[in-house]
Amino acid sequence: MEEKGFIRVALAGHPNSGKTSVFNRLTGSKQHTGNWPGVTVEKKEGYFSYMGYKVIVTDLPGIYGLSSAYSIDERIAKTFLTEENPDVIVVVVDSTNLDRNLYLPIQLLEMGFNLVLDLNMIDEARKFLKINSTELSRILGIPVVETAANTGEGIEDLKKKIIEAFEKRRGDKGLKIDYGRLEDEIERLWNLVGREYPRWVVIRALEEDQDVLNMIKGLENGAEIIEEIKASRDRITRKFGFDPETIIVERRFGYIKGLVRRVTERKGTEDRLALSDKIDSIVTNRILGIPIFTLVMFFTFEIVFKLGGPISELIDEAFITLSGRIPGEGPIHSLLAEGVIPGLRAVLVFLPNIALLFLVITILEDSGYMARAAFVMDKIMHTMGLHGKSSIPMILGFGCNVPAIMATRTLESEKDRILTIMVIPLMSCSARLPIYVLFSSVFFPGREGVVLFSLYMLGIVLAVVVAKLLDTLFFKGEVAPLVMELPPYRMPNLRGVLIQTWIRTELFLRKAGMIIFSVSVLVWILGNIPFGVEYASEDSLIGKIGKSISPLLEPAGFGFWQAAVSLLFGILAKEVVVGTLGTLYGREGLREAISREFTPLSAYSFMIMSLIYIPCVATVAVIRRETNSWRWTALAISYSLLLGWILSVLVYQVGSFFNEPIN
Amino acid sequence: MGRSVEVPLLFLGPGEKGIISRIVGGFCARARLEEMGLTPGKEVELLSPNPIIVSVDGVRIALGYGIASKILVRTRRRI
Repeated sequence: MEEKGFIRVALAGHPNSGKTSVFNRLTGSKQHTGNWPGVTVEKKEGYFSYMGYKVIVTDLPGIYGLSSAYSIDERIAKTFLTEENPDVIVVVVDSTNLDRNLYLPIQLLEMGFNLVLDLNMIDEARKFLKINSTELSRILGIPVVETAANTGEGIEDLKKKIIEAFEKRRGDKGLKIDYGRLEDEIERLWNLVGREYPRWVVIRALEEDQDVLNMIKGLENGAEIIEEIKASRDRITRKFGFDPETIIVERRFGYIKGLVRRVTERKGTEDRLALSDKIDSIVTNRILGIPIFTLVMFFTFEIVFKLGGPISELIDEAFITLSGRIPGEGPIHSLLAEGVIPGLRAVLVFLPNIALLFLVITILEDSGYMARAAFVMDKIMHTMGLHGKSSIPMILGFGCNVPAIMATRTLESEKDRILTIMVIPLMSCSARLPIYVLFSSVFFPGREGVVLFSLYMLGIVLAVVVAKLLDTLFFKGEVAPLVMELPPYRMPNLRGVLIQTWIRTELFLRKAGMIIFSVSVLVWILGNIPFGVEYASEDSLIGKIGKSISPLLEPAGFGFWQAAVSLLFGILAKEVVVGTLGTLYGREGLREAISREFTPLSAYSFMIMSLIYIPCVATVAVIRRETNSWRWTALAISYSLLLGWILSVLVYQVGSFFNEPIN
Repeated sequence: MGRSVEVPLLFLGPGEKGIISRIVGGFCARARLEEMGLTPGKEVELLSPNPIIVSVDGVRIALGYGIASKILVRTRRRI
């Protein structure tokens, strides 16, 4: 069919309105994600074709309204709506709670936006509520659709209504709400600003909307009007005991209450809340809350790594077999066998873990547990200047930093997200375990457990310190107060969960995969220059680099080129450190070689270095991708390198000082 | 029935109800609270005191201590 043109649609709604499911249903897999300009908040766009139109849908962050300037999400949404001016806004609301959910669409209607109202979760609402959506549509003068995104009900109708709203564009007069005792002031100020401006400009000005105030400031006699607005605000506050914002919000809710009474009819009571409250009395219990959280995390871990591990190993073996079967020799063979295939391998071995992780996270989110987890952990995380929700990605970091950083997508605030991403590399991932196991078994036989525990703890302590430090340096320690809706528990819908998991996994493959792959090939090139040299030997470029940096490692107790090269390769993936040492010491046998080259002290300092220094390529790639900033990525690399060096030198030097008399 | 008193939401007992009278302090989260339906005149019920969970319009909202001390409610108390 020939295309009639584009329709740009924005999807708005509360964080728990099922907006994401509606988005996934509308666009299927035809979507891509990025970040909103200048911030680390996920931006999702997708499209679908319908009745000859190509409809481009932008999913806005979950918001409650447009007034709260401290919320980055509301700022993003507002900027997008006012500056990009989408053709249609679909507001997704939770039909089981119209009293609260209609606030956002009403606020948008007042501002004259072209809306479609999507009464989502209609299947749940029907159990105790009869909603007359035809009447609602008539009163508000906009198309109203009933959907249940979980099952896909009503999605076709929603598509139809979007086209309808686009074709019969409503005038931008806006919905008029009676503000009662404020009306006199509104009329007076409206005359001052000019009747050619819509009425909502005056109302938003009374609500102290900075954008509107700035616009007024720019008017001919702007300064005077601003003064008048201030005087008006003072008068209202004195006269009624509340400032205008509060009165305006109250009136809007009052209007909504009347509206809901007209279009709904209750039948029976809601029993899902009673059940939900019962679950909450256990799950968020002061004593049981944290043990339950620990248990949930434990099972998450088991599923992601125990279940994913064997699949990863299969993939790994397949690649090893594959690289062994590549025929021929010479540079092309070497590029494939030592560059391209290990590169692909480095990307794909993560795949089972990542897919499983997203599966579990999506289930936790959709069931409603995630909000409780954040709430339970909030107090502990607050001491680090972080939000309760940060605890989940941080714990996942012990398994693998890559999915852990991806998991920060569940954090709404940019500050929380960046701080969490920055400290996740300090969580000792499973790839570092082989290093610890090798060194502690050679140098600390019988005390491996203590050594391992000390390293994990060191990582956690450092994370607390670094988070606190970055917080004061870059975010001035501002902590958003905790106000969080706890949605009722729900049974997650299988199809919805799978779609969401696939979308998130695919994104990892596409974006992080590219970087991991390119760096792997680069390292191969470095290991093969100059031509004819033995791969990654002392004479190769990477060997020479290792030699030139080894003096820097002298004060940490391991200033020989093999250690330097193994650490360099460790950047590729930390488990490679052991493998590289194995290759470099070749026939001699790894355990004998390291027991000759290292002392217990330098072995410990080497382990500290391995724990902290530069996150692996895959982690760096996702840091870059998720923060959307080279500066944060550079900081993550440099602080970890510096911190790793300082601590390993410190441990070695202090240790040597106390050891010397004995030697 | 007891007298009507104004107390911070923090001081309600479990299961106790109150009507929000005002939100004190010009702190930045107020707009967010109001959009979420915690406006003067609304009835709130304290479901759990520690950690704080309240019910407003049939929705559960978790609150930090700091913010719960700034929401004042009117409730009936026997004195």
